[in-house]
Amino acid sequence: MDQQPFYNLVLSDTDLPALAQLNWQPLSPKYKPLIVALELGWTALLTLVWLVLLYQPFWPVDEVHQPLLLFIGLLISGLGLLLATWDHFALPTYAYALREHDLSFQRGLFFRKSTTQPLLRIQHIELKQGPLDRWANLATLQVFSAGGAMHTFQIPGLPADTAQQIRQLILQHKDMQQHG
Amino acid sequence: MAEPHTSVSEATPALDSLSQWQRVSPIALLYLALRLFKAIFGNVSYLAPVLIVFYQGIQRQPRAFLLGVLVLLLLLVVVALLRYWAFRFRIIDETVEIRSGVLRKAQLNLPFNRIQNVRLQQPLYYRPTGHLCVHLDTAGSKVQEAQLAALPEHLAQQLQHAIYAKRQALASAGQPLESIDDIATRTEPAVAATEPTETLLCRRDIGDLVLYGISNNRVILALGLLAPFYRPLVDMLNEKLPVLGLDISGWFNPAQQSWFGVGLAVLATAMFFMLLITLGSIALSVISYYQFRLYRTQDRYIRRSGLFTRHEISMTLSRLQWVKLQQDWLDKLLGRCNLHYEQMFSPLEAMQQNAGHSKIMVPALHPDAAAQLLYEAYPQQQLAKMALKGVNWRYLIPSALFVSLPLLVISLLLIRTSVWIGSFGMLLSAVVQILLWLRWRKFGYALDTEFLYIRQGVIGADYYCVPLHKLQQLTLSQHWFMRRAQLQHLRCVYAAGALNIPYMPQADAQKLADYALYQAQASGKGWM
Repeated sequence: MDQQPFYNLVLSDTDLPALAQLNWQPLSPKYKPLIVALELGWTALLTLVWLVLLYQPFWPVDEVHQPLLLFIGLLISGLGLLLATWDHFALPTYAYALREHDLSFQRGLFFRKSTTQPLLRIQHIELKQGPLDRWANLATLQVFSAGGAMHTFQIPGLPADTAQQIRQLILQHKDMQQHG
Repeated sequence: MAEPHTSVSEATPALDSLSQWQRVSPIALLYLALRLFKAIFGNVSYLAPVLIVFYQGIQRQPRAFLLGVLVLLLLLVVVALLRYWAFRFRIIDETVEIRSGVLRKAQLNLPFNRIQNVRLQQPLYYRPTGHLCVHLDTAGSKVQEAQLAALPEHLAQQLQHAIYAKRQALASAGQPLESIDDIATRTEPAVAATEPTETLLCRRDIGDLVLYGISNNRVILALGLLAPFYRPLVDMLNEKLPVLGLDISGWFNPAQQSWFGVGLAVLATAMFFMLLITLGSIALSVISYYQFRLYRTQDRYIRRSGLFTRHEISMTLSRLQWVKLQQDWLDKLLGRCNLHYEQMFSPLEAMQQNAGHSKIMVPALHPDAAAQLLYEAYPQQQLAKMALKGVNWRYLIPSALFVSLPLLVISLLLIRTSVWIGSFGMLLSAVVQILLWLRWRKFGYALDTEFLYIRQGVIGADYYCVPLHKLQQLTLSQHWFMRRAQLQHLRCVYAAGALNIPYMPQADAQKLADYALYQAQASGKGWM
């Protein structure tokens, strides 16, 4: 192999824009109550279902299956409560950050993850609003890159107009890169 | 955009003969019939139950079965004939137009500039008449778009050249079709509709392919597919072998043999099967890579190979996401390695059968030759000179805590009731931990101005040489204990897949992340 001039990476930490200095923005304040309430609602509904099944007088559950049903019911309700509690503490850690050239999203209570998506590599964008989102005026921003479906980048719980603004910004950025 | 590429059809007057609606050469009938046949019988595994029923049927009524087979074949031929008849195409105004469909008619218009790739394929029976099957791949659609089942060789090649020339002309005219990075010099692209100059980069001979066959036992997969037939096979052997005077089951019966004899029989049988598997693997390797040649033109890699069916696959330089040098433990013993040019990966395509045909891999290279190819692909890379940094020892903790330790405890509890199970569990726990320790030892990463280098493996090693600027997405993560130890996982997502570096020092991870992002955003180079 020919000897090539060797360039080693010499960079002082201050030279590059650092991810460590991102300006994290919280999600919409409505997002956490909505999700937690939703989870609690589902848990309550499922609890009601198994309670009714267990104690309704029409088709009495036989003695063999009664403890089993009780156990499964308690398990479901317990898990539902656990999930709601977890999200109560975990959702406030969700945050996003927007820079000129990339979009970042951070989450996690015990395992903290932050994902950064360069705007230049975005292939297309989707705004998603379920019925509850619409009612609360929230939106989920989904961003697809060539990294494949496994690595779809998404930010839930954005105020709808903020999501719209970010979307515009990304589209403008792409436009600039291609024609500017 | 009018001036550079109107010359394409003028430069290739032979293509004018294709400007009228026409059918492909009649030899395509054979190809279509065989493809139909493959489509029906290719997936042996799901047909297995049907075949077993059939097998019993044959034994009862051989004549009816024969008739059935004849009818089926006739049907196949008729369908192929109809499809052949319905398929018409023409090439006009730099567009491939195709009309096809027996019952459901379809018309397809493919402008040259939408065609990403032209794959050529020559089955054995096309060779006497000199025909080629042309596959036109387009971006966007996952379904295989179009194929011209049989074109005379010179026409097929001219079509290919015309399409590639068009793409090159567009790229150099600054169309945002595809980025033009990585293409070093580009002098006169518009007039390249004639034969592009190809440089031979690498060839593989039978000896190399045999080595590749030995080190890559792909036959094990085939054995798995044959699983439904094991039972009838064993039954048949049991019936037939005594006739030959062989008492196989006697060999393995401890009542008739000493333990030593039984052991020997087991060993011999295992060796025999290993030999068979290896021979099969060598055969497969030779069949698919026979006369392997890797060429490079101004903007493409071209791979040609195949014993029966010859394939030509190409890939634009700019699509290359990274180069991987792969050396499994058998490769290591044989002193060879395989070089992969990896481009965009989609799981959906990988599941399809032609997955192997979109990849370019050079089998069984000497490490020197591999280094040369790598240098050719990325002249700036420094893989050989880089001192790779290992990852933190805490990499071993999760597996030790959640796999090996529980396994050890359970084995210790079980050793009282069953010495065998207990000691096996202990052994397993030790093996798992040793393998992970080896993997940890092997893990390494390094960074220079343009590339990220990663080494991973257990006994063998895979080296990744990754241009930083093709980065698609990046994730940094750490849990609470890692935060205390100032460690971070880094995951870099590329179009060819995701690369993970676990348990990096936090400062390194952040520096790498910042620099990779900077490269992707500021270099102005595209990823495809």
